[in-house]
Amino acid sequence: MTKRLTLVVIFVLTLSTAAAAQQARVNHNRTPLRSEPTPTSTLLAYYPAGSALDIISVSDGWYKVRDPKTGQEGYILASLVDVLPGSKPAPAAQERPAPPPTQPATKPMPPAPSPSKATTSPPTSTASKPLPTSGAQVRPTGPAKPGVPAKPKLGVRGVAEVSGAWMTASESFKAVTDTSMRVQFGGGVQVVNLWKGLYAEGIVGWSSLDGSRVFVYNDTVYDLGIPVSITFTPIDAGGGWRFPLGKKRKAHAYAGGGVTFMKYQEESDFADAEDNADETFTGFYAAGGLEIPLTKWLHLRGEARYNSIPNALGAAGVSVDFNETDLGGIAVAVKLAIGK
Amino acid sequence: MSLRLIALGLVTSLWIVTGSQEGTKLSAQARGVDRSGVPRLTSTWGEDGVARASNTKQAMLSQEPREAVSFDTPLDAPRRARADRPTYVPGHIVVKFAENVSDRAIRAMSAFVGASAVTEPSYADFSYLMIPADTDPVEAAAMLRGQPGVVYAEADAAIYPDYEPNDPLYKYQWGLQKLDMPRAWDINRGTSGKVTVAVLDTGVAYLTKGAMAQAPDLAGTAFVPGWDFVWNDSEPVDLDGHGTHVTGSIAQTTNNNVGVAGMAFNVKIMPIKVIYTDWDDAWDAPFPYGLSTVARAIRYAVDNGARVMNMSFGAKASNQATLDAMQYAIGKGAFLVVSAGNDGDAQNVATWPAAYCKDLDGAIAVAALDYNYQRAPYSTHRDYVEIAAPGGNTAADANHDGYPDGILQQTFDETAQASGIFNRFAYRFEQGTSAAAPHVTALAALLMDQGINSPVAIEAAMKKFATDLGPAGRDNDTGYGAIEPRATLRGLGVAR
Repeated sequence: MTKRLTLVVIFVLTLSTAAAAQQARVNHNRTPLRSEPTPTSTLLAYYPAGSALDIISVSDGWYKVRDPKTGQEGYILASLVDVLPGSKPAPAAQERPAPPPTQPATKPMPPAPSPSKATTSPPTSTASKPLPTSGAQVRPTGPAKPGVPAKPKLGVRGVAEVSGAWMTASESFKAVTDTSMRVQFGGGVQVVNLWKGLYAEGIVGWSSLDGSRVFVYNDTVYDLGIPVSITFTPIDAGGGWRFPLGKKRKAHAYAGGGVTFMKYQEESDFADAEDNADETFTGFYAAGGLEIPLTKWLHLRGEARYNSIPNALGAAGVSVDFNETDLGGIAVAVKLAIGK
Repeated sequence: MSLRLIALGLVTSLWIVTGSQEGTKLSAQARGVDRSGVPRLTSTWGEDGVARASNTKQAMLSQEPREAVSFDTPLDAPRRARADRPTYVPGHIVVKFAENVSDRAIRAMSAFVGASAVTEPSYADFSYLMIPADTDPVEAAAMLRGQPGVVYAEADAAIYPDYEPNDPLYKYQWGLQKLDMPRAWDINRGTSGKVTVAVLDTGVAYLTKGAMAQAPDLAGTAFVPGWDFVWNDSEPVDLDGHGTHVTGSIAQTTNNNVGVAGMAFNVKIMPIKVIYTDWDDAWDAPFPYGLSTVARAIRYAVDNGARVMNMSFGAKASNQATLDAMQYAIGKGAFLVVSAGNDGDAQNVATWPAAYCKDLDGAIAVAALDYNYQRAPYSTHRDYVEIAAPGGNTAADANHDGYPDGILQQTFDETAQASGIFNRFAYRFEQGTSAAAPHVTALAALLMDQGINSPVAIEAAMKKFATDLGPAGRDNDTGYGAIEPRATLRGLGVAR
């Protein structure tokens, strides 16, 4: 029991020491420094973006900091500062996990602050002053990942996208519409950080192509001049996993997939109702890409997507001549996600 | 063997619908069916030594007309694709005002929608508000709807009849109706003027000159210069009636309130006389030749711009010159249609050039269908039959219209023609693969006009879209089945 208590004490000390050895850079203009870790406490000062502050300790979503120039201390909201990657952890932090007390002699240095950091993080202050809350014990971003201040929170985003799709049934569409590529516009909702990197999304797309009816014989396409209008309305429902990239962990790579419900409409002049197509087919999609935050609320996604909707074609029309049955394809999309 | 006899054999029984040129009064009289050929002419012209000019045909053409021939100016409704048809008539909206609404209120509402005038039409309880042509009438009507004093306000829905020719005898043309031509004509009526169809036959009553007259119901039909290979001149007039009837099926002047309709009535017809008939014989035509004449005619036609050729005749022997000419013509982009022969209920012997079609992509042999879309009894059923079209069966009246189920077109009045009079015309029900082939020819012309400019592709398209009849797949009775003009003209989209 004594051993365990000792371990906990050492661990807490290590955490606080590691935090105290770090510097924070203010990332928003007019960032307030407050007397207590609450947004309603007394305003002590404003700091412009880029200001460097020494972190004394961490609290629940707040850093206790000291202005190295004025010596003023106060609390600042953790999300308004970036922990400087260049700030060197104290030697205590380098020696994590704390050695068992039975082997202290094996440590090259005692768990004391570096002399160079002594002025910014006196060990006495952390040692003599308990942390304001018990947060230090559970802070996942403390000793393990000193650059990430908080656990990713659930985020809901609105998504708008533009994509170019190269359709699998290329010969059929080339014959009728002179192109096998279509531009699709879409929009939907995305929920990120459902559980760790898990996200879910629902996107509705719209795309159309115009062409004219044809007769195909011996690979020659005879244009009959009868206008055809084709509309694609896909609904993608699925999800995936986001992987943070880089030290700042703000960019993400992601991969996912799901179900596609494709509403396919094909209308032409001189048609009776049964001459037109208006059906919905089910397929799947797989997607992967890169997500870059443009601002706190705006994220840019570049995505490659493969889509397969089997047996949607091939029953009639030139898709029979070309033996093409899949309504899917490969697409490249640019998405803007608005939300956290 | 004389080509004349074979050609005439393809015209079987004839029912005469009285020879009034106005073509509105019908009376039919049945005659015995003799598919071995029309009755030999009993005219004494050739037999009792009536003086013949050195070229009797030219003498006929230089005579005074025996009878004035007149006909109405043809009408041809301009084709308008459905895609261009607005749902509402622009330029006005229909508004019913409440009785107690003031003129001032009406003026205010008119100004509200930009109307320039309010008119009160007769036999109506509503007003027209005349709006600018570029104002959306639906929107204008919606602006007034619900206003005080307005009972209703609506855009005026445009009226579009499905195209149905107004030719009074069209109702007896069951073949065109079975082929669903009104809907096919919605797609294409051959109005581009790009396609010339050569009718290689007994000539055509296309010319009013001397004692010869143009068939009145061909008055609005476009003709391009042809050639008479029997008389070796540039006036291939008909002395028999067969070629005129065939031409009528292809391009009879249509929607002219006269007589009957043709199937591709806006194409240009190149009349070419290749068949040596009784009057040609009686008048000692200088070139009473056989299939070689056809070979020459095929080359002439394609070299002079014909893209489709109708050959409603056959010979009981092959002819290499004709085969070579057919290959030449197909190579130059012409599609050839040949009647399969009328020997189906006899020896069922092969005829040429139909038999060549089996091995030629771009030439098609046509069987005849009766009203019930069965092979007509006389239609030759051999391995070269590729497609089928209405050819009629004058021994039946399956549609109970009171007339034999032949193919109705205008040609010479039989009695007059038998007497050597070539300016009296009648509407006659005929049967035969001769009468079936022109339907296929007309479809080919429409397909050319629609954009299938390869004879090989036209044959493939006809077969692909044909309605299979009888045993599944190709069979000797009806080939790949009955032509489907609408489906073939519409072609294919991606999924439909």
